[in-house]
Amino acid sequence: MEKILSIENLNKKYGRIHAVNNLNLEINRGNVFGILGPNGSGKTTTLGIILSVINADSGAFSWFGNPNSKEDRKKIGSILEQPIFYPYLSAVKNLRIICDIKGVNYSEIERVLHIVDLFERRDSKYRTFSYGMKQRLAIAAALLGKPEVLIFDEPTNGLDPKGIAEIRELIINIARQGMTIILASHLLDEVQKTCSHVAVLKNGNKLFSGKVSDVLSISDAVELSSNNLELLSLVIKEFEGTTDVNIEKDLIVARLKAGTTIYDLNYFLIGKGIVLTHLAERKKSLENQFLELLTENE
Amino acid sequence: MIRLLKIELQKHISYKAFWLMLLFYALLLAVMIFGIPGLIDYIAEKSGEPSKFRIFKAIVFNFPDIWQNIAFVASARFFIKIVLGIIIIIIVTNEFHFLTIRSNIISGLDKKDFLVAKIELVILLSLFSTLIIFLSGLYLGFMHSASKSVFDVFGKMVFLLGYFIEIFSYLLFCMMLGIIFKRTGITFVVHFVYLIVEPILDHNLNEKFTPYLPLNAINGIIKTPNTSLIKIKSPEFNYDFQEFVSMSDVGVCLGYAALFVGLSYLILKKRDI
Repeated sequence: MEKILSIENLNKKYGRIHAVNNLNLEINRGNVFGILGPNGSGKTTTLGIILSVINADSGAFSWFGNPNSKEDRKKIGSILEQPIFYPYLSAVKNLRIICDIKGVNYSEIERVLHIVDLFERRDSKYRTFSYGMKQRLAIAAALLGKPEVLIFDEPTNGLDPKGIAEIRELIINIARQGMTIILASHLLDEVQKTCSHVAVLKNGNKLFSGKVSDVLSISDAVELSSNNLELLSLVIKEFEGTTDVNIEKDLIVARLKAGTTIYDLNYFLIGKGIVLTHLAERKKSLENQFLELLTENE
Repeated sequence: MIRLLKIELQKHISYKAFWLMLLFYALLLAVMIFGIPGLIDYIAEKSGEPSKFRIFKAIVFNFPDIWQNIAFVASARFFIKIVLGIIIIIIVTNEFHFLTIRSNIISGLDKKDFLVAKIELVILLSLFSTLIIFLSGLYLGFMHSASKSVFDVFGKMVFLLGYFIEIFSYLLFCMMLGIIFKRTGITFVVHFVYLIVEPILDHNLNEKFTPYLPLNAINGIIKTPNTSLIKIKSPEFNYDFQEFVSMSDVGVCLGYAALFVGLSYLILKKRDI
């Protein structure tokens, strides 16, 4: 897989606060990569560093396998923290400046304004925009010139539910086109719904990184119930594919070993003559997983 | 170079405040340039000694001395060039206030590009100002000068170059203040306080050092012209007027210009945007 971004031993301190602590990260082409962490966990600082607006104390990063250069930044579309534009210029004039910096043709402006549904307001001054429109213009700016990578930092911050839904749909649509996306968020739900990979940050430390689906499958548990709960609990302990069996009221909750499926378990029970009244997979949500990760590292 | 200037101009072409301030500057200059001859006539009538003032007028607007006179007045440190300084301060601090410097860099400029674009704007404003002085000098000279020979008209035009270097250095000083202090209000205050502080320092320091104070240096190319009323009133008044542009003055001024640019770059480079 082609590496888009690699970060090595990155450090940044603000006084006594270690905002980014020896961070290592790799992002491959086509990933929709979530950087998840509570506020103040170092997400924005990390993005600021890889976009050259914040100086790292030590460590290195490289885009597309090259040493840091402004030419590579032209191939990245990004929104950092909040939409930033010249308030006294219109949407089009603001986008022209970015086109000129990136070396992109002005004809792109119409295309991106249509994508975010701001074409009608193209000649309005930026300061007359609502927050949702400002955020959409920021996305339009990020899309100029069809960048290879998109970076969104808290893209739904400060938006109303309708705006949040619109922006997420937009991101998912962009992701479907195979673009590499880096999405920083403190909202699990957002990462869970949009990302293929995730790294969890806390106090500048990376707690976890991997596929979102891996995070979810680690914690598979199965709920079972039968008319004779005692018999069921005895029989299930004979099954080699479970690791942990607990009785919760009128349910038995069993954890399956890796490689064991619900099919295997059910097949085994049928062989033992047990008929189930209830069989369900209990998926730990990323949220539980996330909270667990955070508390484990307290 | 051209690309950076184009990006820079895109930022200001539709910025009303920018044009209003430029217009204000041009109007002030025009009032001054076209008002002064009238003012001298007025004073001449009231004074009871009109002939002396007529001599003064003839001296002031005479080619080639007019170039030093007009450049000296237009570059005076407490005078209209402050309007250009304010324009630069506003434009630079706006980039920090609106955070647009950050979006510029994220989009693909580097900090050096950002600085170069601002320096190009400074050059453009300095050229604009010098052009106005040039046209005004031609107009006033042809209206009032006794001699209109080609040799005299172009005689001391080197003062225009001196004027350009002075304005350029002063605007770089303003740019540096804007980059250091980032906020418009604070930068204004620092700028005006320093305008007042330096003359006080000038008073209290050894004369050997005073020419090297920053504002003295960036006002030091065009020296007081030999056209003061004092001279007419009392011809025995003894003062060694410098009626040429000295290379060492230019050197000191450009040294400061380089220092302002260097400091601006170091600060930008070190700072998290």
